[in-house]
Amino acid sequence: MLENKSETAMTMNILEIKNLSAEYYRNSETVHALRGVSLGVAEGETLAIAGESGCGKSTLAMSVLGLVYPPQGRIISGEVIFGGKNLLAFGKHDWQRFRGKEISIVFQDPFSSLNPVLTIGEQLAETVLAHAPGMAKNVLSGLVTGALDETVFEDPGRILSSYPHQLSGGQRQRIMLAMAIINRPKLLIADEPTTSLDVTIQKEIMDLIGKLRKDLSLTVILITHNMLLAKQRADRIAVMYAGEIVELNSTEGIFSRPLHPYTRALMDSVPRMLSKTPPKALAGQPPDLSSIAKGCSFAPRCREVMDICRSSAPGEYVIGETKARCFLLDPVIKIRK
Amino acid sequence: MSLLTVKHVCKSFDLQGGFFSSESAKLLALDDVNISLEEGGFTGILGESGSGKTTLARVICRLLQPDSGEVLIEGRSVNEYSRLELSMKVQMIFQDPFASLNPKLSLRTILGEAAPGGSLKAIEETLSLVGLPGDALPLYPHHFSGGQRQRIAIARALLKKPRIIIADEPLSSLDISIQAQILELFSELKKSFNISFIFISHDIVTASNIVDYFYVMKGGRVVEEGPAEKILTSPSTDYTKNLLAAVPL
Repeated sequence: MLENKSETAMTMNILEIKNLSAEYYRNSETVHALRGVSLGVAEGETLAIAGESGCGKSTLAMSVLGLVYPPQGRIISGEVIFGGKNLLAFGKHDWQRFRGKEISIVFQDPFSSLNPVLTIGEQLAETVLAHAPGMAKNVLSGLVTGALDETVFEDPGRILSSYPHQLSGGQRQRIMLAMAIINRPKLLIADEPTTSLDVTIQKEIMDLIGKLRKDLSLTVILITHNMLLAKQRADRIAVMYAGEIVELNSTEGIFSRPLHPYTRALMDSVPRMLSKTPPKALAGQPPDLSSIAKGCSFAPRCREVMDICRSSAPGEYVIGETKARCFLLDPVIKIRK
Repeated sequence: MSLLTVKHVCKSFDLQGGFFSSESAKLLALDDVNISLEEGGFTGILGESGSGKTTLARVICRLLQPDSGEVLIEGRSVNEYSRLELSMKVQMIFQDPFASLNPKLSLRTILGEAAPGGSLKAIEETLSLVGLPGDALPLYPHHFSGGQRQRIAIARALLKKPRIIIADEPLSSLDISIQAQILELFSELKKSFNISFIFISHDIVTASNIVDYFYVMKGGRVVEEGPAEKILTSPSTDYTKNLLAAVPL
């Protein structure tokens, strides 16, 4: 996936997240959705954030887009730096100028993201005009048709005058991508972009994201619960669990030598071709983040749990470019064990 | 005699034209479909959205009447069974765990409706089979995760002690890790109970871990069929090959 290793080593991080913590308020409970997340995203890379539902991956995306705010939620601490700017200091107007222009997002369900009473053409135009009000009609029209062209629509004229309900799921997701790239963002976040689609359409959409990345020099953050999708499409993978990053490594590194038991369990739970038996499922579910228990959050489900895991929470162990949050990596604990 | 036989079933729907069109078209959802399910079999119906798989499931359960053809369970047409009798022959598990449970009913009531005589003992035993705790009975659907709701749907189907369970894309709305859990559950049920399954899916690789025989559907027709291993290793249609190629490996 990495075409020129030395080139990438020299590029700056386009996005820098430092020790980010955020919470949601739900039914008079506080959900600790993000607990000290630190992550750097290099310009031009495709980074996957992988994990089960409820691990905080979507909240992380929302935080980067300024969509976590009172009364539903709050960013408690940490920094989000994009292109040198501190996003957490943004006001409402800063965000309106920024969102959809510098950073764009596509969500899982394209049907609920599209306005049912506007044509596709009107919605694409709306996206441009939100950031360039008063643009000349012919320029606008060129941009809109250009976006449909870039997202590989064969009959742009018909698509422009269609309503969302007249398009298939795959077509709608391609429209979402067209809306996401029309303003030439630097970073595209794809939050489970293929989960509600058929496998064949999933491949189409992922191929399209790859094409757009190359054509427009985008940086892509791919949020997914499917490790194999991450393996196929990402340069690096950050595995999240219970609001924390538990492992971060290059795709090749994670698959050849997964460091965290959760990463290993996730990989084991993927179905294999021609296997006569179902894959080995990881029992149980992620913890309820409204009450953070003592110790490592993965301990209750961990096949390699040690005594210390239940009483203390491990910190991040950094080895070169990789890191993992697990006591198994602690050299002292290993000796004692 | 096969447990279930679907013979020459055709079903079309009237479509209203688009917003400004006054013509009505017909959608041929099922076009001369023939499938069979043997006792103890675990048969897969594979295809993309729109291939007709859900329509076929509904016709088998008598939720829809075909235009022509017949559906036989244990040699008798499904139309000859009373609703109660049919519910004890075939049960269905739907794709969307968030839409298939009545949000106003507690788990106790939902399962009580299915259990013979509302027997608490049967309910508790079935709950334990699907890996849910007995103290979850007073809770409501919104308290449960997607994977747990699918387990409830499976428990509800099991309580009727059906001969056939049709699972329509039961894993599609779930995380991969939870898919693995539910797949394991199906595998255990296959081993321990005298229930035959029809497993509908668009994901050939996941389905292949549990299915013995596949019917591949496209545009309302069965385009290919065969034992799972054959379909995976030497598919004969391009359509099947595309389904295989599309899954990330």
